Amino acid sequence: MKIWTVANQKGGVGKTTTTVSLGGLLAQWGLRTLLVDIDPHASLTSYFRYDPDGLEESVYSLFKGVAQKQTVDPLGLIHPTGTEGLDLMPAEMALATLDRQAGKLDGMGLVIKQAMSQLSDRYDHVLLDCPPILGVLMINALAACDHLIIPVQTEFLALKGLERMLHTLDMVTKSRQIPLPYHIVPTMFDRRTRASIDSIRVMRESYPEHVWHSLIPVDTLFREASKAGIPPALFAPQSHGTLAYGKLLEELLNDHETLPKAGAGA
Amino acid sequence: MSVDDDESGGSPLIQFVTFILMDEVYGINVMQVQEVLRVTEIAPVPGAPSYVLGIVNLRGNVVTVIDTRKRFGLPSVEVNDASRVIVIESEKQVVGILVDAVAEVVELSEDQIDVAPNVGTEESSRYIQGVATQDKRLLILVDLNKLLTDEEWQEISMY
Amino acid sequence: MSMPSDKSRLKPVANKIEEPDNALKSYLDTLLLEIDTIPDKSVKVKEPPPVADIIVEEQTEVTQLSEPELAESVQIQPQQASGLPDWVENEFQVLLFKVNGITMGIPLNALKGILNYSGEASQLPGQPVWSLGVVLNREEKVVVIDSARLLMPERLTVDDRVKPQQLLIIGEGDRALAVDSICNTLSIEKDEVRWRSGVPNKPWYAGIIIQELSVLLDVDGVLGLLAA
Repeated sequence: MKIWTVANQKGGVGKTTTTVSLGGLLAQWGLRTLLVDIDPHASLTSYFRYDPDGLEESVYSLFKGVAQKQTVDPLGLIHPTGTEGLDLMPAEMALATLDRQAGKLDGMGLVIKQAMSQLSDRYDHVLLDCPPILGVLMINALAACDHLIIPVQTEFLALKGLERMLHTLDMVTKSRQIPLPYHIVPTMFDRRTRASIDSIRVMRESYPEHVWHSLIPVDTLFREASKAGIPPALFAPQSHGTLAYGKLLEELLNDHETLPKAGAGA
Repeated sequence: MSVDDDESGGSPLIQFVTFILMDEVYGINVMQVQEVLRVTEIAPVPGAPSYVLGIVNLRGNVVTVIDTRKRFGLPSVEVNDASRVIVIESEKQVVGILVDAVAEVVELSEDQIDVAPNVGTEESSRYIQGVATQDKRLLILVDLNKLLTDEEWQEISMY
Repeated sequence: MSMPSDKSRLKPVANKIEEPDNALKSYLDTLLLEIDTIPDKSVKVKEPPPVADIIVEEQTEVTQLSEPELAESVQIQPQQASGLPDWVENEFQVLLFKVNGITMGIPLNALKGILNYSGEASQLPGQPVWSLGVVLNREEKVVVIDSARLLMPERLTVDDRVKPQQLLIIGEGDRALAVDSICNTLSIEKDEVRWRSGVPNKPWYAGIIIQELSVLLDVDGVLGLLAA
């Protein structure tokens, strides 16, 4: 079972779009996929029309279970998305309160990782949608995954956030002592603007080994798909955005073993 | 709520729990929020000050619930399914505040927040910390410590 | 949109951040600590029970984990160490009753008797405002106390006053609290009450019976108020 995390310490970069797009494609291609929403903002959960305030079985139950020393079966926390082969473990607002738990953090960074290990028979792929805040939740997402996807908007200010994300990644890698391969995926590219073109160039110059050679264009059909609550792969399979994600996915699946590792001299 | 909100700058994000009171959206720093409870029953406390709605049992602890509408100078309404008690930790104590509904957790960067001196009435400006725009709506950020005066915090702790 | 001329700003962060890194490193090391079992902690967790007598729609939904924290400081608001009334024992009986629709509790030790009441107290001239009059109990005069007026004057409405149906006899047997109805008795332990003392103007407020969310009466306090 492959676990990918989609993360960036900056918000609004296209994390949820990326997660839903890749997830929908994986399911469409016959791979049993689980989407896990670890973000208290719960965009991914809302995408599929679930109310993050009203759910009783959610990712939060895992953390609650650990704190109360009760076993929580991750299987019980899974909800359908309406797309076959694509399931969701939703977020709940209460996740936002985890970081203020003073003390007793021991091992709390591995809660998601442990839960996922119990699902390895059921799914071929897991995608974790991570919050943009460095804290217990992001650490869980980074610790649980074997590959990290960092969507970055193609605009200048976004690069600042990327620096911070990569620094965090560096620190986590050192703590885990397991290298974590990652891809920087340029998103929301608008070829009509100078800003988009310039920022892609700068991105590629700054991180030559990690920036995906292609890009995800801005695509109004993403928004339409979101309104419908259907993954773009099914809603608009021929849209530019979907095709771009398809290309990314193909490469991720094929090159998985040969990607440069984050720990090795990033 | 849009899938990915457009945000500016690279400054750190602060999370706020937002809630609704009479169609206005308010936000409180997530660091102050201990939990959110469905309203079952708030037991009245005889002789308690008027801004105290009553008490709830939170896993063996008694938590005093503040009548937030009254505090904000709004008319009272019946509790319904959407009503929630947000358990907060102010500098002084743990109390609950009753709200019409909770909305979502929102992330704002510091530069999105305006410290606006002239929002709200005389009374309410005391606890308004700032405002922000979120999805074209005005979000009023509340400083919980100012929700009650020092005397009132003192008074509430006696019950 | 102009791009910075100094592109070195955009290179991956090398050694710019030093000190905050140590804090971050230690935080990460703690979070990523591989442990087989979560360290054993005895956490006393009370399930919120349904509250008697008051209409309950559903159980309290708890959506947060605070158990580890609660174990360390068992009560959010600490007990006031001084000021536990002297009648308090480790375990004692309490009678629950209703006044003006609100449930309260009285320690059984302080209860001298219960009488049924049909409003027959006779008003005597010069009685204090909290008195409903006097009844005879086995030839003894008992002053009937308007409990609602004494304990919760702010909640009195002119109309729809529930007529008290029972009298709780206290003190030397010469005073009685008029109450709407009697509920059940229960046995509670000392730490099942959130004790309070020194509530301004309310010497009768002993604290809150947690599982009932009801105020516990300090009868000495009631009597003291009556004497004033």
